[in-house]
Amino acid sequence: MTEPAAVPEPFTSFERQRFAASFGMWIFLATETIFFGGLVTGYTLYRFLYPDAFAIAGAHTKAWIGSVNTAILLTSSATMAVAVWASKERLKPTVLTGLGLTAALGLGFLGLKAYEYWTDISENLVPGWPDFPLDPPQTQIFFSFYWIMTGLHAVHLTIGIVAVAAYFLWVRADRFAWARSGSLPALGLYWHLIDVIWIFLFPLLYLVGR
Amino acid sequence: MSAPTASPARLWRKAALVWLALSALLATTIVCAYLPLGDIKLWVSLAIAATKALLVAVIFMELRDDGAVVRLAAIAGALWLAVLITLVIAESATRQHDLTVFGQQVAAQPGAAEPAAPDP
Repeated sequence: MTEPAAVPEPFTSFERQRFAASFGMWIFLATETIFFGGLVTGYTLYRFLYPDAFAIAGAHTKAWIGSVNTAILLTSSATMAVAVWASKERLKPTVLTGLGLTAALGLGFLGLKAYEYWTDISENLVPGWPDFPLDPPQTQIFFSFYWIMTGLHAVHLTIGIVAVAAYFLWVRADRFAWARSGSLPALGLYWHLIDVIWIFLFPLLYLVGR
Repeated sequence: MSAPTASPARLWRKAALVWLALSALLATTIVCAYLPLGDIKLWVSLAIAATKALLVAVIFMELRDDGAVVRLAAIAGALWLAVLITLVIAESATRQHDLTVFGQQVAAQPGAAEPAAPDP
C-alpha cells in the first residue's frame, strides 16, 4: 500500500491531526445541535402551548415507519463505528464492509422516508393545504415541524451518504493514509450525530398521542 | 505496518453489544408510548432517547477515549441547547398578558385569564 507523505501538513504528526479532526468536528457537531435545536425549541414551545392539538396530530404519523427507520439508523451507526475502529487496525476489508453497509442502510432510510412522505401527501397531511384533514388548526403547526425537521434531517443524511460513498472509493483506492488520518473518524462523528438527532426526533414526532 | 491488535470479529462483537442495548431501548420506548403512563410519558421517552444518545456518544463516537477538551466541545452543544429551551419556555410560561393579534384575542397564555369574546 503506497501512502502519501508521512507528515500530514500542517500538523507535526498524525496523532495531532486526529485530535484536531476530532475536536474540530465536535465543535461543528455542537453548532449542528444548536441548528436543529432551534427547531426543537420551536416544537417544545408550541407543544407547551397546544398540547391537545399536538396529541391529535401526533397520532397521524406512521409509527411503524418511524420505528423501522430508527432501527435502520441505529444499525448504520454500529456499522459506521466498526468501519472507523477497523481503520485504526488497518483492516481494509472490514472498513469497506462497514462503510458499504452504512451507505446502504442510509439509502434504505431515505427510501422508506420517501414512501412515508408519499403516503402523508396522499392523506393531505400538509399544513396549509385546503384538504388538511385534522382539527383544531394548531395540528398544522405539528405537521409544519414534522415536515421541516424530517426534511432537514434527510438533507443531512443525504450529504452523509454521499460522503460515506466517496470515502468507500478513496479507501478502496488507497488515495490517502486512511489508517492514520483523522478524516475517517471525523466522518464517523458526523454520521453518528445524524443518528443522535433522529433518536430525539423519533419520540417527538412519532410517539405523541398514542 | 504493525499487526492489528483486534480482529474483525472482535470489532463486530463490540458494535453488536451496543446495538443490542440500543435496540432494547428502542423497543422499550415504543412499548411505553402505548402504555397509559399519563403525564410522565414524555419524560420517559426523552429519558430513553437521552440514554440511547449517550451510548452512541460515549462508545460509537469514542467520547470515553477522548480527552477532556473534546468532551467539553461535546457538552457545550448540549448545554447551550438546554439554555435555549429553558429560557424560551421560562419566558413563555411567565407571560402575564393575553395574546392579542390585530385587536382580537386569539389565545390565553397558560395561567392567564380566559380570553374575552372577539369584537364583531
